[in-house]
Amino acid sequence: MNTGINFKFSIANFRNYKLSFTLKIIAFFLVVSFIFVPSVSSADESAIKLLNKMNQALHQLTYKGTLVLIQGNNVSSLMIDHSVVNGVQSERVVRLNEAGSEVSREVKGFSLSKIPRIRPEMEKVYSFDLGRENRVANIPCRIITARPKDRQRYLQKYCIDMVSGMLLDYRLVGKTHKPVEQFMFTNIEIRMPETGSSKISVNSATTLTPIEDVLIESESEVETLLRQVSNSSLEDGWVAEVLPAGFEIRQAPHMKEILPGQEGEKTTKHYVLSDGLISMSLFLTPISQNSIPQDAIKINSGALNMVTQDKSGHRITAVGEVPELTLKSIVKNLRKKN
Amino acid sequence: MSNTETPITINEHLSALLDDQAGDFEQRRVLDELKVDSSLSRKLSTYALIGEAMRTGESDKSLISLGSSFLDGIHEKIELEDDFDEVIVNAGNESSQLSQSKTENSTTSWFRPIGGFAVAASVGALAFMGLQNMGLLNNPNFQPDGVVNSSAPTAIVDVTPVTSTVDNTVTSLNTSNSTNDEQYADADSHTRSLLKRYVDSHMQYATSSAFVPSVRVIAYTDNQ
Repeated sequence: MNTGINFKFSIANFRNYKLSFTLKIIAFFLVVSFIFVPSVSSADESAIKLLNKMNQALHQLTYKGTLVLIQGNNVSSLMIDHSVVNGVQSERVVRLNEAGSEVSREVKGFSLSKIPRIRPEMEKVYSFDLGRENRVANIPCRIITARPKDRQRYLQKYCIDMVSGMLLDYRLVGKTHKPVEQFMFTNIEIRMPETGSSKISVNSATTLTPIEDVLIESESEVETLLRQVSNSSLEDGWVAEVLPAGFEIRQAPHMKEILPGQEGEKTTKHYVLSDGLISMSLFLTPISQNSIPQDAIKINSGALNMVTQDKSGHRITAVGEVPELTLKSIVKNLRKKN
Repeated sequence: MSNTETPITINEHLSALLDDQAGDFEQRRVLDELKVDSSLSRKLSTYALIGEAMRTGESDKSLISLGSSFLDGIHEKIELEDDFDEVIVNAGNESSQLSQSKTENSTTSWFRPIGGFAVAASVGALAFMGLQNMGLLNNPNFQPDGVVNSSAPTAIVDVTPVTSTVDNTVTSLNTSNSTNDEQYADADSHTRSLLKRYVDSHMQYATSSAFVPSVRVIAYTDNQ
């Protein structure tokens, strides 16, 4: 009998112990979340602030340096010279390891000014994390990671000089955790806007004043040519049934072209899909019903991929700085509804 | 005379990186070094220049033909180099070993022609050794594709450096990215031209990337 009472007593003790242990665990997690959650959101905010400072610096700082550009297996060395004179930007990019060719910003080439500004809606599809400190071109910089919340786009890593806001290292990382494209300054001289004389020192003030920005203006001209498309419905009954989160579709001006093996000039519809940070293009060209289907084509150059496929009497081409599977998925889920 | 500040292994890794032969580890190691070693970054630019000059003759899949324009191309690239940094070629070193140092302009101008000659000589020697190793020079029946018959009127094979701008370019056939489940074929020139237009248009209206789209085309038959 006594044994039974003791047994009941010990079960009650055990239940009490279990309950208190559970309460302790819950309390522990509450405390931990209370401590860490605000610091995480604060880190996100700092990361976004630094990214936007970088965006401003890329337009407004005067800088000259050499960088290594790695695209897949190709390595190039570029000299970039960006200056702001009387409030107007100019940029010169020279590829050092080719035949001395020189291309200005206007001829569509490498330009740091193309890196977009971070907008609040981008946080729906990316988390922006403040990483550790690193050193690039002998300048300390802070790593910021734009981590996609799905596998449909590349992870982006920036290393930014916290003093000037200059981007020193940038990489797009694929699903194998290896960079698919990267550039990194190997030496750089950064000067304050307007004065153009003194190199920025670590302790100097870095407040940047707004300038007349011709590069931004030229990009705004492009923006005016793009027309918003709603509900994923494209022209001629085409519908993009499945799109990665955060992408919006806009229509660019039509193109006229002659396709191989096709009679007459065709009109290609160009749609631009963007989540704000990266972009894709969809090209739809009508083809003759009796034409022989063309082999599908894919292109890869570092982060840039391209796939084509004949479908419902159209040649569909998708191009973008996204993984190939994302492009294939978009093309696959493009339907023509009569 | 080796550079005491930079171990020889880094130079080899740097060279391997430019030849696309560096593994992930070597690539990371070189990039880490480049972050902190400015002399190494200058060396990278120099190696890239020399590599590009040597690759110029391979574009038509023929052997390297040491025409005068080839050597002129190297001299031209060395001349161009001065615009960006103070790289000189150490004439007293092994032929392929380059070193960088900041020197007075007078010293640079004295070294430049000797340096240029040393690089050109080393490239010539390497090409000659390569031909010897292949046993081609000892084979009386061998006739390289790119060399004109001696009985024919004298002509120099054009090995003008390929001028590729930072603009969008579509080059042909990269089989390195091929996968086993897809059957690949060449894209014809018309298709390449068309695809280049698409990339151009994408760059104009869509791209937000700073990267230059230097594109390689692969065509394949999608069996799925």
